[in-house]
Formats: sequence, structure tokens, C-alpha cells
Amino acid sequence: MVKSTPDTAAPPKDERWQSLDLNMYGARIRFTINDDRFFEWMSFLLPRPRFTLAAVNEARHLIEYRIELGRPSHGGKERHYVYCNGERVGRAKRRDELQWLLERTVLREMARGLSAPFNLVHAAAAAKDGHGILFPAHSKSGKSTLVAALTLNGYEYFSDEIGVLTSHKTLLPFPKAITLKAGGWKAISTTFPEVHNITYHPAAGDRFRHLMAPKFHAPSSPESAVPVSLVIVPKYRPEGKTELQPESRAAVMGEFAKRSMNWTVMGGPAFQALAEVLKGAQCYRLYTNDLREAVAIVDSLVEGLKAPRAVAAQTA
Amino acid sequence: MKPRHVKGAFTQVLDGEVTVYEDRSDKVHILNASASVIWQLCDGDRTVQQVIEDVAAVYEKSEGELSETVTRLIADLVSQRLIEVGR
Repeated sequence: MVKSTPDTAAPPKDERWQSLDLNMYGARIRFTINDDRFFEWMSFLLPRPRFTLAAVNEARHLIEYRIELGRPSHGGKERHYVYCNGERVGRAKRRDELQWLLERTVLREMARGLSAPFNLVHAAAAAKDGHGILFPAHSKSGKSTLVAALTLNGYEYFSDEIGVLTSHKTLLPFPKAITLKAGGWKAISTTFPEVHNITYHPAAGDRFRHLMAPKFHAPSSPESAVPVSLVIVPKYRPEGKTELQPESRAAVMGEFAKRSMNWTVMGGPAFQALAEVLKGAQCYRLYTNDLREAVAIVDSLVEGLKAPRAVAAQTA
Repeated sequence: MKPRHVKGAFTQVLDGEVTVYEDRSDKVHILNASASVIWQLCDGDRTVQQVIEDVAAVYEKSEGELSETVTRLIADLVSQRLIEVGR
């Protein structure tokens, strides 16, 4: 017998459904799933399952996700479905494909729901000594691997996928685990063996690992979040040396334009706000091959940010 | 005819480079130096002829030398829907 699954199906009443509400940046996101291992399945999205940002968690939007895990039917095939506000947004044939599907579809839909007044950019993000660092880049550029390396070296983790910028030109975390592909995991575990001491979840066989960052940034309000001091466009270069190059703010704005996740919603004000962020930041391109060298380069940039303050203090 | 920025075009000057976001196409344009000068002169108050005169003054060249180039650059900006020509 083939089970029919219409695009707007209601949850079957004979399943055991569990729900979790997540309040984040003015949106309430409710996940419902028919599986006892809910938190395990959602761990990559929710490194802190009850993460809230107290000052801005008054829910303006409600986004409801229902994840329907199929059971093998008489035909012996499973089908798993993801619904967003009642509409089907994805399906997978295998459970281990579901995590990858969820990461793509749920994060994209969450970004839409979280949108205004936040500027969302496809980027990794981290901070050190009160300086926010944004790494706008496309997939497979090595930004997750780089941010994982930084978090293993004392940086606060913000995101490996979505940079959340406020109208105050500050950076907020987007709470999900770091998703490393096989190549990234190999590079990280070879260069920084201590990664084995922290929590990670393998997914989709060995294709992905979801890494729980050791230091997770959790500001109490957008105003207390960190200002963006550095914007670094990373590019993994398998052959060639690790190298930093200055980049013009206009060129980085071009990168932002390609990586923006909500300009179609926010329009011109988002562009203006990002320009203001860039005016207060130093901009670079970082070609990475050796992770330890890449971390050292970012360290030196952060050290350099301290220098003017020290000079100013001496002058005063 | 007075060229002007289309409605929905947002301009930012970053390190001297003019970047323009146009919200209908959701695209960012980074203008080169000469296009930047023309962009800033196409304010809806100047005619095309006045833009040519002002560009000639900026580059200290004759209007005849620059007329074709300026007209072409305005046409380029119009074709990219960054500028419209009003009367």
C-alpha cells in the first residue's frame, strides 16, 4: 500500500508527536516531530535547545515546522517530509539525508522568518576581544572550517552559515552547530586534534559532522552584541599558500550583494545598513590552505585592532 | 532631457567607489570612475548637455571630445535601469 502524503497534510493522530518552541530574535519557531529522538535530530540547529535572546524575544512571527519521519511501509521504502506553516518544503528518502535537507530548508525558511529588522548574510561569524568578524562566502569556500578552527583557538562562535547584523551595526549569533563536510573535518581533526574532546555528531554517514562550539556567544541585547571590526572573504585554496590580501569595501559590498539572504525583503535600507557596517570595518580576502596559518593571520588582524586604542590611551 | 536616478536606487560611496543598489533587480552595481562622475551629475536638474559640459570641466577637455563617451555612459546606465531620462 502506498501512503499518500498531500502537500498540506495535517499530522496523523496515531503518531507520537513532540514539540519544541524556540524564541529567537522576535520569532517563535515551533518544531514538531514524530520521533522520540527529537533533540538528537535537531542538535545541529539547536546547540542550546532553549537559547533565547531575552531582550528581543517577543514573538512577532510564528514559524511552525513539522518534520514527519516516515516508517518503512509494505513497499519497504521510507519517505520523510518537512513542512513549514503547513506547506511541504522538502522531502528525503533516507533519514541521514534528512539532516542535510533540514539544514538547507529549515535555515533558509528561518532566515526568511527572522528577517526584519536584521540584515542576514550568508557568512560565518566569530568574535574575539569584542571585535566581530564576518566571513561572507559561498558554500565550499571553507568558511565553516575556518570558523571551527577559530573557535578551537579561543574565538567566540556566532555562526557558520548566517551572519545576523543589527541596525546598530553589531553582530548577533545564529545558534546552530558548525557543520563540517568530510574535507573540513579531516583538516580540522588533523590540525587541531583537540577537536575530539568536544561534542560532535556525525550525520549522513561520514559526509557531515555537526560540531558544538566550545564558546558560544550569547549577548543579552542587540546593543550589547559586538561591532563588526573585520570582514574577511575566505576562499579555500587547495594548492597555493595561505595568504591575506586587502580588499576594497566596494568589492566586499559586491560579495554581500551575492550573499544577502533578505535584501529582497529589506531592500535599500539593508544595503545602506551594510554599507555603514563596512565603513567601520577593515576588509580582506583570505586564501586558506593551512588552517594554523589562517588562524595566525586572523589573530594578527585582531591584535592590530588593539593598537590604535593603546596609542590613544598613551596620548591621553 | 534630464537624466535622473531611478526610484529605488540607493547610493553609497565606499573609499571613493560609488556603489548603487537598485531594489527592483535586487542588484548592486559598482561603478567605475567615469560612470561614478556621471552618476553623481545625473541628478534630475541637469540636462544631458549640461552633464557633458560639467564632465568636460572635471576632466579639462572639450565638450566635443567627451560628448559621445558621456552619452554612451548615460545610455549604459539607462540600459541597466539605474537612470531614467525625464523631461
